[in-house]
Amino acid sequence: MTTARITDLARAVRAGEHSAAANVRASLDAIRARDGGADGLHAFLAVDPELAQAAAQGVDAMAAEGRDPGPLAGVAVAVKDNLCTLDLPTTCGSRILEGWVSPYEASAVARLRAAGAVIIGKTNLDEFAMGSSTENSAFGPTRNPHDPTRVPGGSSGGSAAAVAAGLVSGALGSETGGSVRQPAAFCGIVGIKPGYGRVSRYGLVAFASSLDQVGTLGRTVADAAILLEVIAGRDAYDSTCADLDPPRFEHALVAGVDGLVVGVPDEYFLPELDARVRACCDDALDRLRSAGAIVRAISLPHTAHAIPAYYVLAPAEASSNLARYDGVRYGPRAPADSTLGVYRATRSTRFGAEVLRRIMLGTYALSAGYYDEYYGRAQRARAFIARDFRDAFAQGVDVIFTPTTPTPAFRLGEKTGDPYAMYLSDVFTVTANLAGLPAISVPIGAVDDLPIGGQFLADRWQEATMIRAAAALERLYAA
Amino acid sequence: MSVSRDDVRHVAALARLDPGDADIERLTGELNSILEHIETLRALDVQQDPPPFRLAQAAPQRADVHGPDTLHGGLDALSEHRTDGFFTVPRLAALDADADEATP
Repeated sequence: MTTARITDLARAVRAGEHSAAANVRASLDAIRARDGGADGLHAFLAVDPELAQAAAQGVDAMAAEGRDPGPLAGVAVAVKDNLCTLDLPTTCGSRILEGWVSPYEASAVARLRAAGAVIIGKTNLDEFAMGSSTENSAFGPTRNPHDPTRVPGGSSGGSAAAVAAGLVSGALGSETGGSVRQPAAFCGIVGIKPGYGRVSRYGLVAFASSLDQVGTLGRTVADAAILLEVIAGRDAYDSTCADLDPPRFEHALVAGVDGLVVGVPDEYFLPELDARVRACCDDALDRLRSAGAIVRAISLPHTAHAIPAYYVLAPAEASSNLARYDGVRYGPRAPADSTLGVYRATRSTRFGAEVLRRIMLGTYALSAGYYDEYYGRAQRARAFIARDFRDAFAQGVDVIFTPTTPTPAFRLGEKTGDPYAMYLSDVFTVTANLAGLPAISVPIGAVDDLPIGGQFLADRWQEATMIRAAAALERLYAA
Repeated sequence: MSVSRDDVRHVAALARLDPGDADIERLTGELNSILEHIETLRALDVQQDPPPFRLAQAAPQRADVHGPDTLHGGLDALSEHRTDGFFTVPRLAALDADADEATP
């Protein structure tokens, strides 16, 4: 049942035609069969079968008593391990939080449970969500279900692999520079990054607070969209969450693209783009045209500054956010003969190489004498990038279409020796985070049996417009 | 702009990190390589005023209601363990473990 659509699954459980317990059993069986062992996917860091089965029985009991368990009744969902949960550890894929159990729960997780979803487990990620391959997890990498010698993308690689392999029906991830859309593209599923402020971040472990968002992953646009409907909306626990009702995507999912203006930015289709990825994008645009969309060339002239700006701003914010992990307040503590020694020993031995690299980079960019040179310039670049998008939407563009990634999934270990080459995996996704815009990745074919993703970006609060375009494109491929 | 090994040591101290010599060598190379790419930001026109940029609409305001004052009961209500005007707390277990190891 984990391959059925979320709305169909929940409807069957609410109607008493199918049990949540059977659904959860199927999910746990699939995890046992595919996730463990040396050749397993290693999508999960923690699964508690008893807790999941107890939650499922609670949902079934509600349905049996005639009470509505909610729009996600009995649906098996996975949660990225940087979202706090009360009943399972939250490690962020880091030795510095090994075994730590949060005293509170993320609002997005609480809303899933309130809607009847059953949290199956916590999924693997690049340590503190810093990475594009899930190879930076302190607990070992996740494998791509389409080819176990390749990465699933990252940082939400565990969530993407779990959904793509049918271990769960949907999952939560988090985005700072493409960490939902890039793994969704590599694993052949749908990933949504909502606009900044659409979803509460209460209980999402902070990486770069001006960029972070909770996102959703599903095997269809409708699956990812209904998860977003459930977790979105105002939250008294997060002052950066906008005072808006949760959006509804029922009409967007069936509306089609007739008359929709699709902007195609030249800067995302440079000559060095992988020709196979370009061909998939051209095919997707042909299909959109055939369905009545108006495809128009546009320019986003400051795109080239996005990766340099991102890799100043995100590490700068990370260096501040991660200062709290000092061996005193969270997790294990390294012995030393002074308080400062405890801080230094704990941080130096418990953070992994990429996290240390970004803390160093961010601290350097914020240090006296370099602030204007790096952080100041990066903030200016961000403002120009955001204006590029505003100008495009002001000129009548409804959505912008680009490739999600410059290449298909790469091999495990292929980019671990070159940090900047790894950073370039995010070249098409970081702009949405910098500008605070919503974006979605949807499958647009395959190259050598490896999935390719196409990305739609929309104006602020226009998630429904991008979901409309993505759902229509999905139908065009299914036809 | 090039980062030296001394720069890396200085930044590590600011970040409360204690990298070994080999790590300092590696980080110096990596930071220089990454900063070389970031230098492209210099191409931005710094004379031109940046456009206005705001991430989200104003956050919802909670009611302006005065809550209970946690200090109302005085310091004794917070903890009876005080010495010379300071709160006393248990030693870090790690320090005790360290001291135990040092004891013959």
